Amino acid sequence: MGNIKVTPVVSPGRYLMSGNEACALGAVTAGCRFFAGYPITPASDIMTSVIKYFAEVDGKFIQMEDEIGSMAALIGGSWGGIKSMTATSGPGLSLMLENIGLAIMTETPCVVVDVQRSGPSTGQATKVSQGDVLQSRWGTHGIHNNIVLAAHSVQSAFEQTIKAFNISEQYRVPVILLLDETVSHARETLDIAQEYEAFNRENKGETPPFGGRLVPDMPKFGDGKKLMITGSTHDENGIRKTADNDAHEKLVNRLNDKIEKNSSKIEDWDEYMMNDAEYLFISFGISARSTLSSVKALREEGIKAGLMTLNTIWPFPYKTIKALSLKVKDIFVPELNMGQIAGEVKKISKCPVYGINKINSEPLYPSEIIREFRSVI
Amino acid sequence: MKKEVIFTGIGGQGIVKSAVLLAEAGMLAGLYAAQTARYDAAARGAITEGETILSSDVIDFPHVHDGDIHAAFNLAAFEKYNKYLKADGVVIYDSSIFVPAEDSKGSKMPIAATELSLEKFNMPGLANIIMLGAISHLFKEIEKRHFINAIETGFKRYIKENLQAFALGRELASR
Repeated sequence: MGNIKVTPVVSPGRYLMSGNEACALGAVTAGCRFFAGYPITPASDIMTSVIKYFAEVDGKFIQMEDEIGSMAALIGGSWGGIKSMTATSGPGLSLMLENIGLAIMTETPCVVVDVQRSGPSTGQATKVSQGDVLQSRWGTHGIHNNIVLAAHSVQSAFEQTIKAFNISEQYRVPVILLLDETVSHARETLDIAQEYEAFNRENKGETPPFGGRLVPDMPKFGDGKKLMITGSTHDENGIRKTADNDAHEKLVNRLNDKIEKNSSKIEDWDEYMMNDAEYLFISFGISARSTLSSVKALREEGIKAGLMTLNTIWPFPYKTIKALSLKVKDIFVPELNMGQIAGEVKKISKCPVYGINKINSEPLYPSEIIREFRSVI
Repeated sequence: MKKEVIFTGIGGQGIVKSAVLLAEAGMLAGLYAAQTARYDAAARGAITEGETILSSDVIDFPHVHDGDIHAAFNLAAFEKYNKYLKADGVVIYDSSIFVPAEDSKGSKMPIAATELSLEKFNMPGLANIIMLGAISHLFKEIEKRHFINAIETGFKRYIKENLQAFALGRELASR
């Protein structure tokens, strides 16, 4: 229980691997031993790579009839005591949303990888996009809170997948990991260390399964106790309380609080030359890579630019960005959508915020970001 | 050191495979590598592009935007992607398939890869490895053994023929 050390299934060293392969390796390293999924470009090779590793670690894989079933199987797998995962793309995430809500309500740790591609609907299956930022936060209905991470490189896809499992186990929540087509299909050098830190859910029997503290102990099927797991409002023992308003308020508050009160621990970003920055760029995923190149080019010209690469998207680092907005002249937000992250930044910023957007299924090129920057400055 | 290579052609010609093998060889030589690709949902027969960046430093952005080398196997694909080549870049093209316009960007190096593949190996499928051999000549930073290692681990069949095709392309470029 709690923190443990784990060894990757491959030897330490440098590899050339795709983001999807690195994600699968990260999952198995973190302890994932159950994968339920339905193939979809550009996420399918997460599934095929997981299967390859599962042959070595005795994991279990089911190809389900669709994404609705995949998400349902994940919840079952997790309550069986096994770290569980699925991977999909936008059209599949849309189908999973109902059961992601069930995982939130039943406090079921699991990891859902969404490799973003051009949408809406089936869109362009092989092309890059970053259009699922708000869907990943607000897609499922009701008053809820959830955690969404992002990865911007093959190395980061590996590390963020491990982190997604750890956070999921620590807070008993489904964690969505946002990749994008470029990060998932790009092959890059990946450095694998000797060991990594993993987190296993607590099951000390100190609390009932749905109360007693912010993140209760999580028993599993077969432990020997009666276990009721429902998406309806329930009390600490899982007994349905569909007519009890106080029970509902108490439950929903706790589900929100366990993320809200730990948000400073969950929020995470990389900083590049932010200390003296007059112009702050905020980005994520593949767009953060384009932006890094742009920021370096601007610095070479003597322009004080800095980059904040979001590793955690939700909870969003509102307080930090608000404080930064009081120090910098302008904020720029490059992303492959019409301003989903920029919208959040605008909510709290005290300086002008400019979106740099592209939706033609191509990544943003560093030269395009610099051109947009110059059109403002 | 940083070199950026674009491979273009149509699906089925081994475009992405060439990009992966170059990246693998670079990685084995101790360089940072990034390899990306662009293709349609119907990959076989549609315009396909592969990219490889090799660098002694960490690679910020994994797509090519100032290509040093463009290895081209198809006219339409060449015309679509040659904009990502530097003005003083090198175009290595399969001269048995097409000839680029004289005024197009880059100095030109013809290699009759498909014709040679048919002639020497009785199949067209080794044209990309003949081209890879030619490209390898432009990468003094990567020892030949790393390419050979990448080819040996990158194929399950026809390993001997692929190694011969690589040697042929490398020799042609050295002339």
